[in-house]
Amino acid sequence: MELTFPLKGKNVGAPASKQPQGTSRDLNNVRPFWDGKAVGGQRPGVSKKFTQQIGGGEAPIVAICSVTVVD
Amino acid sequence: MAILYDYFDGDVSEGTFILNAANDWGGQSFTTAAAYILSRIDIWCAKGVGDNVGNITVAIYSVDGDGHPDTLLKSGTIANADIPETTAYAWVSCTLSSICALSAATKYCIVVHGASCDASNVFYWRYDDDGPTGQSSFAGGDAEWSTDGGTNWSTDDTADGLFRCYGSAAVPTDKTFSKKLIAAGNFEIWYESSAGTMAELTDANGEIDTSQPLEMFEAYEKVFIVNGTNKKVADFGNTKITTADILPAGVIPLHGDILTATGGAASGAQMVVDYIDASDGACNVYGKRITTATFLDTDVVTGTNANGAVSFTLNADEDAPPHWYDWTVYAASTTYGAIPDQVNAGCLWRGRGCISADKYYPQQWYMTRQGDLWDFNYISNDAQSPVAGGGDPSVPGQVGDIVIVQIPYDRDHLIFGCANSIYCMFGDPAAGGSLDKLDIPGGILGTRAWCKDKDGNLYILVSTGLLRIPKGFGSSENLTELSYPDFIKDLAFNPSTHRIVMGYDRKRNGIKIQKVTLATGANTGWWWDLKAEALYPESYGSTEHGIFSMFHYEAIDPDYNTLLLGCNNGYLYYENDDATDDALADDSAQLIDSYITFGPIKLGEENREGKVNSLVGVLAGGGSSGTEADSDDVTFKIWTGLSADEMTEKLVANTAPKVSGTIKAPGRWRGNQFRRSIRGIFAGLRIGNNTAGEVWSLERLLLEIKKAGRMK
Repeated sequence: MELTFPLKGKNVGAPASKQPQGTSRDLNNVRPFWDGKAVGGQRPGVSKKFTQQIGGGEAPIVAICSVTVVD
Repeated sequence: MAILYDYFDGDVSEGTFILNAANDWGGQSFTTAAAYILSRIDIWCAKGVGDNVGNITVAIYSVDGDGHPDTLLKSGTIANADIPETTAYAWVSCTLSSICALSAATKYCIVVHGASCDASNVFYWRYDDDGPTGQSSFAGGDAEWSTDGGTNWSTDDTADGLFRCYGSAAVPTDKTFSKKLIAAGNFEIWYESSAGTMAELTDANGEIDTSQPLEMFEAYEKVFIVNGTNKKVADFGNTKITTADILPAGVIPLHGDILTATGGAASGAQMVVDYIDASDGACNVYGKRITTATFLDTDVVTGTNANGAVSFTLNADEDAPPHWYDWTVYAASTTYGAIPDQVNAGCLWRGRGCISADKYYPQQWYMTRQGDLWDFNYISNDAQSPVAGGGDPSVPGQVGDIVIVQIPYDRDHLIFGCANSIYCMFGDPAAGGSLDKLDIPGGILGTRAWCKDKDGNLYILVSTGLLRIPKGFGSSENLTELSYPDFIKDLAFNPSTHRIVMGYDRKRNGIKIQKVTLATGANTGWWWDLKAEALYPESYGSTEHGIFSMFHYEAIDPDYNTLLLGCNNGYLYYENDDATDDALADDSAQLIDSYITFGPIKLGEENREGKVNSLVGVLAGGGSSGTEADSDDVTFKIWTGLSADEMTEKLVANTAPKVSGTIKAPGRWRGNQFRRSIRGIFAGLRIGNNTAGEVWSLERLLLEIKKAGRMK
C-alpha cells in the first residue's frame, strides 16, 4: 500500500472507518505544497520582515495598513 | 561613451587656485542645464615641477542658500602620476567612485583638495577671470575658496575654475508614487520612514488606545484611524501651512480651493486645499502644494471661491508631511455636519469614509461625501452627498443588528458583519442603494475575521463556519461543514478573550486563519489552501507569535511584497520558505512541531485481522549535492487496534506505539525498511519532525500489509 501526503487536508466529518482518501484526522504545521510541488511538508517558519519593534516594546501589533503617496 | 554636459573652458592663460596646504580647498559652482547622470569631472590643472601632491580629491557637492558647498554627493581621486607639471597644464580626468544623478536647473559645486599638498608639493587649478572688470564670464556659478578644510567658504564672483562634467542621459523612471507601511501597537503609530525601515510617528504617541478596538484605513494619501473617541488622521500627502488668523476678512478657503502666496514674502507657492482645522483665528491649512516654490513665513496667501475672497498671512514656513491631527469635519464647522463621538469601524468605499460600530448607536452607519472625508452634512438630491442610516426617507435605514465591521466587497457591495447576522448595502445609499440582510446564518467572529483572495472572493468566519462569498456576489459556500462539522465548536471562540485574524497569502494562494488569546498570545490556527481546497491546522510554539493583525503589503520593493503578520511580541513577521524555525524576538529559533497521521487503515476484511509487515519511507530530495530540496529525517510511529475509533484515539494521544523509529533523509536509504509484524484490524501511522533547524517533506510511504487470521 502506497501512502502519500494527505493533500486534501483535515477531515473529521466522515466515519473513522471510512476516512476519505487523501485526508487526515490529525495533522499539524504542514502544507500541501513544498518546494513548489504537491508533495506536502512542514510549513514555512516565520521571520522578521522589519528589524524595528513596533511600539518599542513587547506589545501586540493591533492594526496594519499602507498608504500610497505621490512622489 | 561619456557625454560632455556642463563645462567652462574659459581662457586657459589666466589665474590659478593654489593648493599648498591640506586645508586649502578650491571650488567652482555651476547650474545644470539639464538632468543627467554625472560620472566624470575633468579639471585644467598641474603640479609644481618635481612635486608629489599625492591623490587629489575631486568632489561634487550640493550648495546652501549662499551658493557655498554644502553636502558631499560623490567624489573621486586623481593620482599624482596623472597630473602634469606646470610646464604643460592639461585636462585631467577624475572618474567618480559612483555615479551621481544631477537634477536640471540646479546649482552644484565642484570641490578640489589634496591631503598631501603643502609648501613643497603644490597643486594648481586654473581659473578664468576674463570677463568685464569685476565680473566672471561664466554664468550660473562662481569660484569658491576655503582655507579650513571646507568648513567656511568665501565666494569670488570675478573668477571661475575651468571644469568639464561628463556623464550620460538621466535614467527614465516610470515610478511616480511611493508606499509606506503603517502599524499600530503599544499606544503608538509607526510608519515606514524609508524603504524597509519603520520609525515612530512621535506626534501620535499616547493619542490612541491600542487596548481598545482600533481600525485604520487608507484614503487619499492619508490614514484615518477610528479608535472609540480617538478619531485621527496620519497625513502623508499634504503640506501644512499655519496662520494666526484664517479669517481676518473675507471668507475661509474651501476644500478644493487653490491658494497662492502673492504678498508678504511672496514665495509664489500654490496649493490645493484639502482640510483646515478652524473656521476663525489660529488655523492649520493642509493641502497639496503644486509648485516647486515653498510657502514661507509672512507669505500672504490668497484665493477666491463662490463665497468670496480668501486672504490670510502665514506665521511660519510650511511643514512637510507626515502630520498628525484630529479627524474633524471641515474647519471644525457644523456647516459640514458632525462626526459621531465614538466609532470603532471604518473603511473607504466608493470614495467615501464609512464609519460605524458607534457605541451609542450600534446599528447606525455613516458615510462622508464622496472624495471629501471632512463633510458629514447630508444634502438631498445630491448623489455624492454624505449620508447616514435613516437620515432621509429616500435613504436606507439602520442595520438591523449590532455592527462589528464593514467590509468593502466591491464597488457595488458594502458588507456589514454583525453580531448575529450579515447585512449588505447594495449600491450607493445616496443614489438609490438598498440595505438587506443576507441569507447567511450567524454573525461574524470579529473585526478581522475576513479577507479577500486575488480573484475577489470574500472569506468570512461566522458562527456557522468558514464561508466563501464568490466574486460577483454569488451564493455563499460553507467550506468546513462537511470536512470539519465541529470546526466552530472546536474553535471555542469567545470574543471577550480571543481575536480571530484572517489574511490571504498571494504568494502561496491560501488563507491564513489565527485565533489568538488576547491576554497571553497563545494561539491556534489553520491554513485553507486554495489550490488543494483543504484545511490544515497550524500552531506556533511561542506566544510571541500570536498574530493580532495581518496585512498584504504591496510594497514597491518586491522583497517586502508579502503577507505581514503583526505579532504579540511587537514585530512584523512573514512566512519565509527558507526558514526551518520560527524566529523569536531575540532572533533565537523556536522549533516547529509538525506531523501528519495516516489512518485508520483497514488491515483485513470484516472479522479478520491483518499484519503490518514492513514500512519503507521515501522523503523528498535526492542527496546533499543535488538540485532538489532535501528533507531532513522524520520519526515514525505505528499503532494497531481493533476498531477505527480506537485507532483514532491512539493517533491523537500519540503515546505507546507498537513500533517507532526514524526514517533517514533525503530520498530513499538502504535500511529505511522497517520489518516488524504487528497485528490488528486497523492501523495508524504518524510521521513528523520537531527538531529545531530541520524541515521535512514526504515523497511516499510503502506499507506492506498481509492477511492474518480470524479475529477472536
